[in-house]
Amino acid sequence: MTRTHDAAPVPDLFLERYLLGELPEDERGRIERLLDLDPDLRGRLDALKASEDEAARRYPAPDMADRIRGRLRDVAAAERTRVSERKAWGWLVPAAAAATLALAASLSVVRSPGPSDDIRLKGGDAELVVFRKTTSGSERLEPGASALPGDLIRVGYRAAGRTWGAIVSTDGDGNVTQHLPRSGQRAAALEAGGTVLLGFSYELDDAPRWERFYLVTGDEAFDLEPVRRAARSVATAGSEAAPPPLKLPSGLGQSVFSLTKEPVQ
Amino acid sequence: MNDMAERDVDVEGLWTRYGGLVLRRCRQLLRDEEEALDVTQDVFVQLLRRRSQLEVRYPSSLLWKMATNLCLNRLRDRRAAPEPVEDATLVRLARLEDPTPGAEARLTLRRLFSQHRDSTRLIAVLHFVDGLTLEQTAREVGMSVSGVRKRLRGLRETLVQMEAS
Repeated sequence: MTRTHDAAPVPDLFLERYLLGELPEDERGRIERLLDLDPDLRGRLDALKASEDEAARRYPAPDMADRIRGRLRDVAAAERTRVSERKAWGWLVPAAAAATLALAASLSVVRSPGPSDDIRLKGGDAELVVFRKTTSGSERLEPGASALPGDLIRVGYRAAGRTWGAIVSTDGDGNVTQHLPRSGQRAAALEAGGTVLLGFSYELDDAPRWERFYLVTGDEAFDLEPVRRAARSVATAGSEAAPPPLKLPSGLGQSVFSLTKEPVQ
Repeated sequence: MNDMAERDVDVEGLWTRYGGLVLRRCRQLLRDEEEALDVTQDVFVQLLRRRSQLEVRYPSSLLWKMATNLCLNRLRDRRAAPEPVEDATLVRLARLEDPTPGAEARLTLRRLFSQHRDSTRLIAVLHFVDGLTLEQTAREVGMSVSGVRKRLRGLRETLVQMEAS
C-alpha cells in the first residue's frame, strides 16, 4: 500500500482501474500526481503492466473465450436439467444389493465401440451403473434401456482400481451435464470398494433420442475441460444403439452407458 | 439467455480487457494458479449470465468484487492445508498480536462470517486486506461510511465474543 504526503493510500483496485481508465477524474488526477512523486507507486504500476503482458501470453484471449463459452453452455445445460437433491433414498435398492447386482451384471455393461487409432478405451473394469426409480423402489437399467422424460435416474460407478474419474452426460439436444464432480475443473477421487452411487438423482428432461453417460477415468487427476469438450463434440453424433466414444487425452479410459429416450405420448 | 450472452457479448474482448485484473485478484486471494484460473473463468461466466451488469459504468470495480466473493467462497470450501491469506485476514481483522494458526484460524473465520452477511465479508476484505479507507470502501459497496463502520463494528464484536467464549 502506498502512502505519500499524507495522501490516502492507493489500493491495488484503484491502480487496476487507473490502468483501465476506469477511475473518476478526481481520483485519476490524484494518482497521476502521486506517480510523479512516489517511485514505489510507479513500480507497482509497472508491475501491473508486466502482469498484464504475462497473463495475455499465458492465457490467450481466443482460448479463454472458448473455455468461458463452454463453461457457460455447461451451466445452462445443468440448469435445464432439473437435478433433485435427495437426502432420503428409500426408492433405491439397498447399497449391498446394488453392489451385488452390479457385480452380477458387470459383464453386460456396454462398453464404448471399438477403439479407433487415437482413442484408448483403457477404463479397465471401471464402469457405470444406472438405476431408475419405480413405484415400488428402483430398478437397475441395462444399456440401451428406454427412458422417458421425468424418469428419476441415479448414476453410480465401479472404480475397479482407477483412482480418478469424472461422469458427464449428453442429451440429444447436444447439452453436456457434469455429474462427477458436480462442479470444478478437475477429476474427482474415485472411491474404491464396489458400487458407489452419486448422492443425487437426475430427472430426465424432454431432450430427444438419448441420454448418454460417460465415465472417464485416469490414474492421476485430470482436467475436465477436454472431457467436456469431447462430450460436446459427439453429443449429437452416433445413434441410439451406437454411442460414439469420446476423443480423450492419452492415458484416460472411458465407459459409456446410453439410454434411449422415448417421446412422451 | 446464455445463447444470447454468447451471441451478443464479445467474450474475447472482455477477456482481453479484464482477464488480467480478475486473474490477479484470484491469484492474490487463492495463492494457487490452477484454482485462480478456475475461479477467474467462473467470474466471467457469472458476468455473462447477468448481462445487465455489463452496463455498469466501471465494470472493473464490479469484476473485482465478484472475484473477491467467489474467491472467498472457494476459500471457505477448502478443506486442506492452512491458508496464509485467511490467517493474514484474521490477524488484520482482529488486530491480534498472536495470530491463530492454520485450521483454528479457518474455523474462527468460518464461525465469524457465518454470523454476518456476505456483503460484510466483502467490506472487511476491502478495508482490512485491500487497504481501502472507510470512505473508499463505502463507495465501492454503495453504502454510507457510517453503514460500513457499523458493519465492521459488528464483526469485531462477534470476534470478541468468540474470543471470550
